[in-house]
Amino acid sequence: MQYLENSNGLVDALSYIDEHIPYRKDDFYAALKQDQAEINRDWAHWLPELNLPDKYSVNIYAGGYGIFSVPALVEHGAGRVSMYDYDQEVADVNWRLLSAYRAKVLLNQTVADVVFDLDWINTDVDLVVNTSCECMVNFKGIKAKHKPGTVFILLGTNKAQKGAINVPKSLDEFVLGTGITDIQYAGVLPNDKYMVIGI
Amino acid sequence: MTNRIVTCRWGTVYTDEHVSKLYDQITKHCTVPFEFHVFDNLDDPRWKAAQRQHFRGSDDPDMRAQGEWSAYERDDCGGLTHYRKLLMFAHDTDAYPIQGTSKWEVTDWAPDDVILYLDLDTLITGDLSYFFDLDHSKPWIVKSYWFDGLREQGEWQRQFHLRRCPYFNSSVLTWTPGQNRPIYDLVNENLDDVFFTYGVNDNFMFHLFGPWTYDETRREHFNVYPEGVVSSYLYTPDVPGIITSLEGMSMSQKEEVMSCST
Repeated sequence: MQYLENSNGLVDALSYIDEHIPYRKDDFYAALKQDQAEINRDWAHWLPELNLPDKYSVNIYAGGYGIFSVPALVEHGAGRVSMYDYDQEVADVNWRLLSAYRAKVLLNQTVADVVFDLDWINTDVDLVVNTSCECMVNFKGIKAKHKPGTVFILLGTNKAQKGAINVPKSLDEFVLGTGITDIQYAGVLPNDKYMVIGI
Repeated sequence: MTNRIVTCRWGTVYTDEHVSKLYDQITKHCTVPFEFHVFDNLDDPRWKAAQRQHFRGSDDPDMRAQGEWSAYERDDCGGLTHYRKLLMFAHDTDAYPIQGTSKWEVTDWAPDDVILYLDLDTLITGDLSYFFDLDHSKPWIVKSYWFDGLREQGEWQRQFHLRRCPYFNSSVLTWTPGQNRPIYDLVNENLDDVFFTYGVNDNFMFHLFGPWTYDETRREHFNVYPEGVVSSYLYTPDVPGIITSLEGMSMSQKEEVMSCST
């Protein structure tokens, strides 16, 4: 998998953080770590198996920095990537970080809360990726706002940690909370994240 | 136009004596005419049920300090502490039932009345007329400026995605009747989502009515009082604000401070 094939984006992002928001360095560096790459690798390798249409559209919810997710989706044929996250500064960094990918796909960013701003989010998409289900209410209600047939890749931690308000006690509880019934994959990843893929 | 000073009381932590002490401070420090109103045991059974259903902590859901529950902190426990304050935003224009009776309290307040809300553990040291002379085209709330000195720069931005580190402090609010109704409505129409997601009412308002809010009709809902109008007894003891917040102090510490001030 090619991550950030244009390193200018990474340099621009680091430069922007250094100059304007140095207090975000720690969490940006954390997002660059190997464990984050592995999490994204774990879901991205399923993309060829999902029978998605050519140049499929995808929403990334609460995805933070798109260091690994956006390159993975572009590599696997996405035509439109829309990122929704309520962190304004993450969007500012992503704009620079992902500059090379804006030439390859239609890349949108919206600073919005997936739960409370859902009515303004375009849910007419082929794929939804949410790797932070632990940070929001059960996904079932959000899923219900999407068109039938939308494929979901959902991950959530099973560890109690700051900001994790929804930590299921088991994989079954996690899957139940997502509302996914047509399951293509459900399991616990090596990094102790639950993952479910399906419709 | 009437100047209204209001407070909220529920539960057993605060008593009639606390209300009397606050009223005494107000009469001592307010140089303009006003009417005083206590929202006593204001509640809504649907909201109360939502708090019970979604609170994931182990202590009193209305206590900001919370015993640790696993690795969680109060911010992560859901249950929207002090939600009763938000009920004021509907009942400044609507009547509400008086708890334990079959009577209703009528709040037939005029649209141009100005409401100043004060927490019961507020320390007043300056003239409250300041708050009635503000531009009331938008509501006002306290910004916790003292976090700037306490914590690293960018603390609230860094913690925003964790739904904590609020820059809003609702211990002192100013608004006109109906002006904060969108806050009440958002909670009332999304009870489960709000009570599941937010542990602290000030975090809720900072997230969904603050500077980074997506919805333009909600973004920057409040003006914030200039620095020094409301100070913190704990964090900025040398700043002589009109009002001193006792935020972050234990109940016994607050009692000690308040008894010395009267």
